Amino acid sequence: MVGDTPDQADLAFVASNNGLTVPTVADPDWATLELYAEGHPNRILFGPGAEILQIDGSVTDAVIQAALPKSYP
Amino acid sequence: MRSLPTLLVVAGLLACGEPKEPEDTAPPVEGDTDTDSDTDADSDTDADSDADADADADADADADADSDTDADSDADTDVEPDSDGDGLSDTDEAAYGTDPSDPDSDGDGWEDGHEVEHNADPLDPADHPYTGGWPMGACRHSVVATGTAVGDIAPDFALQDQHGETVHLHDFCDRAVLMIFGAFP
Repeated sequence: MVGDTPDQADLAFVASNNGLTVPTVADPDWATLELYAEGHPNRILFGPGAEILQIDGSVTDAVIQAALPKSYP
Repeated sequence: MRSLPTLLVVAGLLACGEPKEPEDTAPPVEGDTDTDSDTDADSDTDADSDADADADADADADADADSDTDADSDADTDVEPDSDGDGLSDTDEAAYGTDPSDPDSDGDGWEDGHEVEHNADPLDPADHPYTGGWPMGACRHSVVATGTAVGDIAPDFALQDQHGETVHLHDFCDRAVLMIFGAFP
């Protein structure tokens, strides 16, 4: 399905099939990804207030824990 | 490559818990190649914890007169007990640590069986299947983008999720967000 944009049913299937319990959205033509970074990184970590903390695939659990707001368990 | 759309998974980090896997209990006894909790000196080839003199071919600890082909020591008209009717058997409730008499052990409005089926933690009230309507942070209107480099405040986006709802990055202003990009198969 290269070149096709996943519709809502496709997204629901992917989310269900992968056990995803979070929003799963389509990003046609890489538009959103390229808004934040060049080179197609596969992960971007934002802190509270949409602060960009890290742009690449090496986001570790420790980095995520450090990014969590203090009120979170 | 540009024609290949990406999937964007927006992970609100309050809800990233994984369900606990049932633990494997009762390790086999040493020298117990048939794993029936006793040693092999009993010639118990059907692994039902007794000797084979009972002609118990279905290994259910009783004779075969009950037509118990599923080997659970009772007749076959039964199904796995689920006392609270939440879709999670009493056996699985014990394995997950949930309450077999309460269909919603963590009180988050989602039945235990449904949570496990959708990879949510039935013991964490903050973790439940996503069905749209992710709570929006009250700070979302005060976020002002400054750029797209590390350390900047990111610009917003608006994309439709799997429930047809519009997801904005700035709606998650009160939490950390991990975006994971992947190719649509």
